Amino acid sequence: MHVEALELNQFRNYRNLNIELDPYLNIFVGDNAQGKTNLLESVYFLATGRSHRTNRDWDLIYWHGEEAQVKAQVTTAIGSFTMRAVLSRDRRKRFMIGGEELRRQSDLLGFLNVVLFSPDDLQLIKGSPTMRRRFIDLLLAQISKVYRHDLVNYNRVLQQRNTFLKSIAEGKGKREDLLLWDEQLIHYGTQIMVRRAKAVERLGELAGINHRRISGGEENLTVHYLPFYAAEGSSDNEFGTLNSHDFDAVRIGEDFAQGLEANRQQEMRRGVTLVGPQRDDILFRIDGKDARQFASQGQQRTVVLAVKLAELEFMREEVGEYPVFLLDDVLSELDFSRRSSFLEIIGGKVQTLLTTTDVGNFRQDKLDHYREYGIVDGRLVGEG
Amino acid sequence: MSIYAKPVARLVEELAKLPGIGPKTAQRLAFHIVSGTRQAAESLAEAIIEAKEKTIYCSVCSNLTETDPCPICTSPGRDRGIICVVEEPKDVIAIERTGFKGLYHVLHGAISPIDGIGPGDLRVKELLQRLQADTVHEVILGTDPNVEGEATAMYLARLLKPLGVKVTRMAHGMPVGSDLEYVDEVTLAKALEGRREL
Repeated sequence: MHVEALELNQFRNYRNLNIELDPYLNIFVGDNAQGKTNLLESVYFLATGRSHRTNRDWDLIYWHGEEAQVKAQVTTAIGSFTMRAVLSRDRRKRFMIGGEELRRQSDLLGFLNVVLFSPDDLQLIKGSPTMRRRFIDLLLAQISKVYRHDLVNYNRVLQQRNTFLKSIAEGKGKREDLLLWDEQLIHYGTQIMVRRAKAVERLGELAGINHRRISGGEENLTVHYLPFYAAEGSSDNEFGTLNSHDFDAVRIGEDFAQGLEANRQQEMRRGVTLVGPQRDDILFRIDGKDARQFASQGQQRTVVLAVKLAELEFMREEVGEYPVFLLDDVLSELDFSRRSSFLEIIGGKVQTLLTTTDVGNFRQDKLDHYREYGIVDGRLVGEG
Repeated sequence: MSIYAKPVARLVEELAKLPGIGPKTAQRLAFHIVSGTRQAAESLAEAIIEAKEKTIYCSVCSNLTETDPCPICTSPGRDRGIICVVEEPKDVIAIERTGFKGLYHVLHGAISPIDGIGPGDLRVKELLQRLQADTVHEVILGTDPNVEGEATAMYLARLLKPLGVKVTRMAHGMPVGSDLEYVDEVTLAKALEGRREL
């Protein structure tokens, strides 16, 4: 799928912008703080309903502006349609598909799939587990409505159960009523974990292939799903070698129920749910060694790159077409050979929007075809 | 906001408190009322007061009613052996349309710790009292198919089953008359989970 045209009104530092996009490679060039990232952010916002940089939506509205709008003409295998996001200071944000307003924001995912690679993603390997869960959740939520449903419900049960645990800890709630939430917690949690385990396995295979291509076949990357009951221990435990066959729904459900039982007293004392997919993690290994502990900056960058490429391929396998790839200022720091094998992999297949301060980098890559846009202070200053 | 005349601002504010009414809709309704006839405004105001004053909760089923017990509880044509338990009075109206001929029990809510609602805040005691009489042989749990509704159904099931009454839960199902390929995948997934042997 790809974005044919993009229109921004009062979005961040764009008063008004109207551009047509190349179905493949689009390079936005400009100095720092001119609005290149804002442009990628607008596409991300339209696709997911939120910004990747802020939780305060009104930050997205033009300084002193009343209402921000992002509009895109999107073409997918199914057809072409317009998507529009409207954000105002005094109303909830609204999303329109082909002129029809969506009733729930969670219905937005899946119309325009995106994969974002920004400098923050370099933390994927060594950063907090929250980041890795968010990564896998956004990927799966974009491709599966059932996953979205399970995730929304799981988080709801978790919130209810945690609130109830707190009231038990304060001596108010009745202990036996805790059971009312356990069955649903296990049900939705298990669905999420089965799906995550399968996805991480396939993602890992694809990432391994890409990693060999980019790194010249010198290192071997493997990716492992660590369910909550494995994530607690050290990285060198048996779980690093499990594959998705070890994660069938019945087994996970049993482990989940056992975990709840074993932690019940502690949960009631501490007032919080201690088991479940909110404690899952993903582990990256290079040549069998935990990348969290020893990977260099350069190795991390290559791993994340390989994972992002795997994400594109995974989405194509699941949805039938590639998502839109948003690359925020991450390619210029790669050496020439890594950058060109990367561009070669996505070339002519994936619509890519990338930002850079120095287009010279890409000119020497001898790209077949691309569209270049100059961005200065929220305005388009040149196109070619 | 000072852009309205004060009485209009008050009306907008009151209307905006209603469920499903945002500031823009409240403003539209307010201007509609103000620009209409005095008669129309009075009729609306009276209807609101009357509805509030003349409706009470049925002492048997807790549904909203003008007479106590309510017409459903006193109707000789209803099956007194089956009680369908629902969260809100509006759910009674939905199930009535199906031609269901049993009785109802309205809980006025669902268990939700986040909102500070526990089992004690629902009309559960009233339900237990009704089951003291031997006439009831089945209780259908018709709470909403969401997280809170499921937890409430589970609470009631645990409470009622030991009393020897048959407890059933409404099924998640496929919309009738639709083609399989057009059914929302979440509904379809739930229907698969709840499949039964033929």
